[in-house]
Amino acid sequence: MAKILTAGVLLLTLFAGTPSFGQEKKVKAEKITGDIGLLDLEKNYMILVTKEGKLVTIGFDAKTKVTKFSPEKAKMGDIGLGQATSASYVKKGDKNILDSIEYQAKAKK
Amino acid sequence: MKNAFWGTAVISLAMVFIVSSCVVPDFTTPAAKPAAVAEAKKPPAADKKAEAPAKPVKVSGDVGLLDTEKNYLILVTKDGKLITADFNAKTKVTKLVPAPAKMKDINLGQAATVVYVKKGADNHAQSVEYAVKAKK
Repeated sequence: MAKILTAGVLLLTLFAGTPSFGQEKKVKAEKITGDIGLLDLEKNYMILVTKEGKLVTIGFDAKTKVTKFSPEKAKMGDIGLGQATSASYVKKGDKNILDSIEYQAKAKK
Repeated sequence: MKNAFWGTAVISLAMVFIVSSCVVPDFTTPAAKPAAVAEAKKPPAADKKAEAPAKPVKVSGDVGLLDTEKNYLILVTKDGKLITADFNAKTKVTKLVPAPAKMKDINLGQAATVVYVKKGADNHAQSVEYAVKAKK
């Protein structure tokens, strides 16, 4: 009896580790940055030109989420710790003087 | 005979005066002048280099420290490098505010970040983000 139980537990453990047949493998999303080289609103596709000059053709549909980021004046105090930023500075002697700093505000929920 | 002697004497004297009055150009001084001019011109060129504004350095990173009293911050780059920079009232701070948009709003040549998935041979966009330039 104990042998049967042990075998059953082993079998269950084995099957629990394997994905079910109906389950689809999740496709990994890729992130790319570049300039819009072509945008066809009729055929629903665009060509993105990367910094390296690579052309990437990407299709889109009504479900594609489009977000525009509009610049607004802010203060240094508005920037939070850990905030991702893009900055520009100049070297003056042994010091770096910040010219400008840009950060993305979080979307309002 | 006396007349011939006086004549010769007068002519000789005249010749002495003519020769002595000839101006011998001094070639050493003018030659030195252009060198002086050249030397004088060199320093402004060096000054121009010194006056040339420092080239701005662009960097991306997370804010690791922000001291609004001592007016400095530390940025942590992707490579883990720490950059300390001072700021003042002239430092331009811009926040990019997100808003929903449509594909037709995007202009050609616009910089954009696209998240996409591969579906067979095709790529399909899940999201597109782009920044609008500030109005001048």
